[in-house]
Order: sequence, then structure tokens, then C-alpha cells
Amino acid sequence: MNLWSQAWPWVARLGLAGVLAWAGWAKARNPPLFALDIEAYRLVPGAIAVATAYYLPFVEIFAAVALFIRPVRRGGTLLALVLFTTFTAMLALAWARGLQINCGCFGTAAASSATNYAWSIARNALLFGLAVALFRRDSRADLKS
Amino acid sequence: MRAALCQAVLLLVLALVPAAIAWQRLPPEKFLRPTGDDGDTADQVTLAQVAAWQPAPLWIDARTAAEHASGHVPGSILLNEDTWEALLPGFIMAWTPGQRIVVYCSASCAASRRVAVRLRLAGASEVSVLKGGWEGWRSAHPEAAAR
Repeated sequence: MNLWSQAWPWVARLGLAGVLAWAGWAKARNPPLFALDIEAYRLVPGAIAVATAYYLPFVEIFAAVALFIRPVRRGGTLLALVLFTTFTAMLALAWARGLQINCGCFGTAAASSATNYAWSIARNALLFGLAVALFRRDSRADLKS
Repeated sequence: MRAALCQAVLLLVLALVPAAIAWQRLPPEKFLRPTGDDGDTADQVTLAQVAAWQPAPLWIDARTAAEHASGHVPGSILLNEDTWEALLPGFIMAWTPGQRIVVYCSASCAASRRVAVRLRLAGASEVSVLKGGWEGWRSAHPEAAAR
């Protein structure tokens, strides 16, 4: 039990960082195509979609790295929480509007491979729960030290 | 909570640096064309515009292989995102550097725009997207499309 209580934050950290870094890197490799992914949601004007496409992947990568750097790890987890909340809201809106798009969650897959909204939202909910648990645990640990 | 917020803001500021580098390396205006109020992008061309081009452009079919097999613009090259790596050599063989390119897919699909961006990233500069797509071309050329 004690071993698990020590191990789970690292498992959670690795899981969250892995997903964020993978997603960020895949998008950062090709921002112009990611801009089209964002535009497909029809939520923001084109110029904002483009700026977001160039910026967001690096926010994900920095959040992933920060999870392992003690002085900024809670900031990294907080960013992860905001990102997962935003992504989930965008997916839910696209689903509700019946859009058949690729979410662009992990880079620029072909537009023909439409996203499974239920699966993507469930995945984000799991990651969100993991990030909440990690944030609470790190907050307690930082208060003690 | 306040400390976490400050940390998050610091990370957000730091992330601006690689984002600016990416913007410099892949300037968006080189690969993306703005969308107008009517929903059309600046790189869209009509059949009438394309018909006036000399020399003739290279047509790129961004639909699936099955759709291409069931009918396509004569001389068009199949090039879609699903099998990009496998189809790209066929495009390179058919394209003369500097030649204009017109990409089409179905009227309601977004694939032609994505393929146009990929072609610009690959080094082609004169890439346009056909307004009305395959359906528009087919209705303008009923005899050719039936072949």
C-alpha cells in the first residue's frame, strides 16, 4: 500500500506527460495543417485558429515537461487541467452540432478519419481525473515541505 | 493556488518562444489562404478560371482511391492524405516544377484544402482548390465524366 502511494504520482505524471508531449509534438511538426483542424470546429475566426495552431502545441509540451520539475509542476498540472477542459468542451460542441471532423487531438490525421467523440471525451475525462488527483497530491506535498 | 497560477503563467510565456520560432520557420501566409466572409478561401478557383490557364494545370484528385476509380478529371493524379506517402511519388513524376496545380475533392469535403497545404509544404507554390469540387466538374462535363 505504501509502495503504491509513492508510485502512483509518478505513474500519473508519466501518463499525463506522455499524452501531452505526444500530442504537442505531433501538432508542432505541422502547424498549418493543425490550423485547418481547429478551423473545422467552426468556433473561432481563421486568424485565431492559425495563432492557436502555432502556440498550443508548445503549451502542451511545456506542461508535460513541467510535471517533472518541482518548482513548476503544479503550474504544469493546472495547464493540463485547463487544456483537457477546453478540449472536452470543443469536442462536446462539435458532437452536439453533428460535425464529422477529425479532432486533431494527436496531430494531423487525415480529415477522412472522423473522430469518435464518445471515446475522445471519455479519454479526456480520465486524464482530467488523473490531473486533479495529482494537483491535490502535489499541493499537499508542497505545503508540507 | 496562487503559486500554481504564477507557474502556469510562466510556462505560457515560455511557450511563446518556440511558437515564434515555428512561425518564422513555417510562415502561415505561405501555406494557408484566408477564408472570406462567404466561406470561400482565397485559393479557390472556378472551372472558368482554370479553363483560361495556359499551360494547363496538373489536376490532383484528393478523394479516396475508390472514388477516383469510379470517375475523375481526365489526367488527374490521385493524391490523398490517407495514403500520402505511397501516392506522392506519382505526383512528383507527373508534376513539372512551376506548373500550376488544381486540387479537387467532393464539393462538401475539406480534403482538397488539406492536400493543397501539404503540397505547399512540399514546395509547390501555385496550388489552388477547385470551387464546387468533383460534382461541379462532372456537371460541367457530363460526357467526359461518364467515360
